[in-house]
Amino acid sequence: MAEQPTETSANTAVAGLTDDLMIDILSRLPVKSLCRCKCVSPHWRDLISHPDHRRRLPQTLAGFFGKDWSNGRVVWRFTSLCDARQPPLVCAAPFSFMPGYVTIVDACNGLLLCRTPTGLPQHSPYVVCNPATKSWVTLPASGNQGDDGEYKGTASGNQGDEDGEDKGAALPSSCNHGDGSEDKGTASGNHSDDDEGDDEDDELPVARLGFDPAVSQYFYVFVFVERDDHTVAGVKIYSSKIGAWSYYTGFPNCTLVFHDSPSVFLNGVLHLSRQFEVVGIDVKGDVWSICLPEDPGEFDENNMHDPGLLHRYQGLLCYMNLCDNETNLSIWVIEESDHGDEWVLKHQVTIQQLTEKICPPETNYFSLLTVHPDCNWILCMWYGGHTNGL
Amino acid sequence: MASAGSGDEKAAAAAMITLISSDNEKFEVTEATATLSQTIRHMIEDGCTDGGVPLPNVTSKILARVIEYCKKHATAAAGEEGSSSSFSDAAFLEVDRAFLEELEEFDDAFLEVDRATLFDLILAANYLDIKGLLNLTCQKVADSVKGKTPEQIREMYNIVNDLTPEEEAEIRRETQWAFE
Repeated sequence: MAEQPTETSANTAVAGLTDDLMIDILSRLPVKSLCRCKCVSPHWRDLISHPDHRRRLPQTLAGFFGKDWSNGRVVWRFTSLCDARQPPLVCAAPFSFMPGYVTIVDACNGLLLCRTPTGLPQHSPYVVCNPATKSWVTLPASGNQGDDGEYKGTASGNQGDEDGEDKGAALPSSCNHGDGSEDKGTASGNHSDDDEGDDEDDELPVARLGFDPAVSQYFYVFVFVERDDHTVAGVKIYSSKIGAWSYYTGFPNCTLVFHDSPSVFLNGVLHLSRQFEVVGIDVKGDVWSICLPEDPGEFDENNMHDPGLLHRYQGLLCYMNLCDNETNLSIWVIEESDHGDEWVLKHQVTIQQLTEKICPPETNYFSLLTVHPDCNWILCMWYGGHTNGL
Repeated sequence: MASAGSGDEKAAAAAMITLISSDNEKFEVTEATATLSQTIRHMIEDGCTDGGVPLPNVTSKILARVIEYCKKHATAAAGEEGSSSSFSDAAFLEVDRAFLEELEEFDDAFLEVDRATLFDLILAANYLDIKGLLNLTCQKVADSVKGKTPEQIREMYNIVNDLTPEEEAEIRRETQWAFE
């Protein structure tokens, strides 16, 4: 500070830039550099952490929600990844701001799709909320298969747009490090044991949330409509842009989706993995599929196949699965090639290689949680309920 | 525009605009050069450029550099337009590519300035609303920050670190992976 008088010209030069220009510059940085920039000065830190600016800045994973049982009831806990060295930080009551008891259905880039047990007649049971900003919007009723014109453009729907925009950008204040927006590893495929115990899920439709602040400020909710034989008849898609639901059919006849079907929303397309393939559904209801990379011969038809995980990894669709009696972990990504999109095997490791450094060798029960979208991490969970970054 | 040019080609170029820097230096530039700035373009459209355009936020040193940039990019734009009619497509593409390469080289050389100048250029580009120049200069700063440690950034831009050690430790803890 003593040198200030002699060095003012350069110093003022940075200080002379407006916040807007600073954000313009910072928005050109990769996430990792951006995080480092927070350490430069309080001004830079505050600039990067400011909720208004986050929308324009690169984002990454902040933490994830997990289910837990307490007094016979499912309790949702947020585990922050902000501090990898300490035990997971758990918010005591992450949904205390919500009007009632909610169940998380899906999470996508900082927004959560929740279900309330009792919806009002004019409302659907779905609530999209942002735990970081403690804001939420209740979706209008979807009606019977797309018969919902009357709700088009309601005030609440439009309000949702604006909220959605902030939601994606604003992050949990407990992890204000310019990262954050991907709260992953939720109801879908997180703790399979818990899912099985959750009987109510069986009767409710499978639903997913799509939100990608890098592409659009609007979010989408996909609700699958099943026939009596549990095949998919169609999908209802709520768009926060128009504030209404639309109903689309056009699924291959035998399509099945499950509550624990891994899914990821990427580039405006919801990808769900099922037995042998990944089904893509865009926000206009177009459906297509691509086979999973592994040889179907490896699947054991008699057992419930572990569907693996779908994720976003460095902007690409990534598929992870345990194979060969769960001794190997394969990580694939879809890359464009001359022949169209192709799966490319990125990594293949044995579980022993992964775990020998961090857990006792006899601990061989574990499940994959998520992939960090920007760094080379996989999060796993084993019986003790601990998570580890690899 | 008002002054009748002696030849057809000169007609457009003949419209000159006078820019006046904060230290009262006058710069005569063509309208094609000046209108790379949206701010000046709007002034011209509103017809309020008679008697010169005062730019109280821009020093003569910086304005000279900005004009240098605009001249080059205005020429390149004009060159592209002119060439399209007189070359075959293939030849045009060739010329086009050469232009782009030349322009890129120019931009690289243009950015070889000290940091204070770079920031002044950003401010001027922002004020004058010259998108290309703003993009170029902001990217240059971003590139210089990319991959650097906070210490290096502070040193480079002479920023005084008034974060307390506790605050800094907290930020590092929050995103430990970014510092590995």
